[in-house]
Amino acid sequence: MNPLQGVVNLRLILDAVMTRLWLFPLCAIIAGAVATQGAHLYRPKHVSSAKVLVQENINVNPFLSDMMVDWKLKTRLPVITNVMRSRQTSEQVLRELGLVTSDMEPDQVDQAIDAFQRRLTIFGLGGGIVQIKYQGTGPDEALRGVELIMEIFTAEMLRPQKEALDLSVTFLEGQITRVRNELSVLEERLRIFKEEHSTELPDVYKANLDTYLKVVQDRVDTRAELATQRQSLRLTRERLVSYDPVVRGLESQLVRARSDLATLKATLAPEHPRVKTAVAHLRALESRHERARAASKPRAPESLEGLAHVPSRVSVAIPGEESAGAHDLLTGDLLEYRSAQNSVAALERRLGDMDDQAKDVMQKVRAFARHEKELAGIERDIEAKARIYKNLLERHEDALVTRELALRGEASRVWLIEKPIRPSGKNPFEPWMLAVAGAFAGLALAAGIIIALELIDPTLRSEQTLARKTDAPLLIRLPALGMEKTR
Amino acid sequence: MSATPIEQRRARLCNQLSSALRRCASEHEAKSLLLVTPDDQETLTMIAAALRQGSASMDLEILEEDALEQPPEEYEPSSIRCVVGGAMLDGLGLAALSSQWRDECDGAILVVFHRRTRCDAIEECDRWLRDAGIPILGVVLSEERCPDFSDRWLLLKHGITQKLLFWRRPRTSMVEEVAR
Repeated sequence: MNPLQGVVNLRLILDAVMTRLWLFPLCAIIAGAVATQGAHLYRPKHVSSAKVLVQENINVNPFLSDMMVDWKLKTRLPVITNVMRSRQTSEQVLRELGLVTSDMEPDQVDQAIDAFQRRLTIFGLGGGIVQIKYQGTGPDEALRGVELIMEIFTAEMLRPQKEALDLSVTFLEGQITRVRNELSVLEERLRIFKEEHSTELPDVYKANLDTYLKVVQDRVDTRAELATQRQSLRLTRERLVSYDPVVRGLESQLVRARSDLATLKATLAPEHPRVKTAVAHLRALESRHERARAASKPRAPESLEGLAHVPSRVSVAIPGEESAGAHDLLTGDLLEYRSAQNSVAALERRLGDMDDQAKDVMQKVRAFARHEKELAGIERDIEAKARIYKNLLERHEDALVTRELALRGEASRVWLIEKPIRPSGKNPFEPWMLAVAGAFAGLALAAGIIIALELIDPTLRSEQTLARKTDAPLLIRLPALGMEKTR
Repeated sequence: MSATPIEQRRARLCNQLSSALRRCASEHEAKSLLLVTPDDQETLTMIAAALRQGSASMDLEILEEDALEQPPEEYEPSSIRCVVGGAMLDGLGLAALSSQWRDECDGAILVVFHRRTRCDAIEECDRWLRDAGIPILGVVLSEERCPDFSDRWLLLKHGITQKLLFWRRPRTSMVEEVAR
């Protein structure tokens, strides 16, 4: 039986309200009293909150972005939130706050941790902003709690990066030491090799090669000079072998006689006695020269050696001539012969030395090719190790700088944009406000109760309902007569 | 001292009630009416009192419930007899109504109360009376237990006046005079 079925009758509504009008003051009084009592029983929530902005490296310091480690802090927010809600972190904060002591039972500690985790709220607001809220039993506890949580939050946010950088630095230092030792071993090996093969090194190889070429060229020149000296020696020897002091003296006299004769003929007549004497003298010399040449015999070459060593013994006295001139001629040839002999000997020795030198240099050049492979291997290993060592040193330096930057940039990377403040200890709700609000709530509650009662009320409330229930007509609708008062 | 407006109004309503019952009896040519209610005997008694008060100047005879325990008496044919039957669903109700009275009653007047009488009780009474051969000729709807807003205000004002201005309280004889 729904009273609202059909047309909503304003009279019925007013009637329903008036019938249960007592509900309004009753509910208003009760609700107001309950609210007032609740205001006394209400314990105000002391909530302290803070907001932090988590920034990336590049945002913090764009000028050193190449030295920064690309560390996605924002991706760590869910992890950090879970870490902050972990039992270990909660217990740490509670111990700092003094809410958990060492003499507490494990059950009490669990209860304190559960209560702490219920009062702690950490959530991201977007854009890297994280809000941390903590509800404490007192203003000071709330403030201190948020401060502790902030410290742990910052430490937890940056801990992996710091640990990673420390690990990188430590790792690089170990690698640098290892590579340096290996490089030292290789350098010692190279040193030993160079000491053992000092003449077969590449720079010496080039010098050897140049020396070899120069020696070869000198050999050619020396051989040419030797050939010249040998030719000269041969000619001198031939001249000395065929040399006759008598014939040579006569030839000199012939030259001189012819000269005198030519002079006389130019000044004197041919019949002059002096001219005739000179002609006769020339004839005599010519005949003597002919006889001397006919009688002259060549020397054995072996005899020249004796002459060369004892030139004074070669001097031959020529009758009628000055012996000094012949001796000078012989001495000059012998000196020339001896000089040529010495030159040939010197050149031969020199050529021999050059051959030996060329052979020696060629041997060194050939030996270089044999050791070049080993040397190249050592140098290649050293070069590779040196490159690795240099790379490690650069990385180590970068890691050191990055770590320093990370340590110095902690404050700017996790930026506190709203500092935690001490919440007010005053109850925000005045009792009279709660009483009024409770009264209004009571009125609303009374209206609701009336509606509910109307919906379930089975009694007669309208003439239409009466007409539906019985066919009899309504004779009269009697208002309240107040009969009880007058009876 | 003159009657208060509330007393005058009550007397007027009593007359209207009696007139309505008489008109209903006349329309159905009924001489004997049974006044019943589903379950509120006390209020029915008040209605009977009002009916008795309003029928003083009419040829309407009101019989109390005790009369049903006796056989019907002879009465003046020109007048209309109205018997207060009581609460039908309270206890035995009309189960103890003798067949003589069933034959005697030409119809019933059902008195229901606003916001008091259950709808299913009305249906049950209607069915019961129909089975007893006493058709319901008319219904009287009383707001005695739940007056509307204007009546509430009137009664409240009257009650306050009765309490505070006790010296202006009308005498009973004056009410009866008004009723006449």
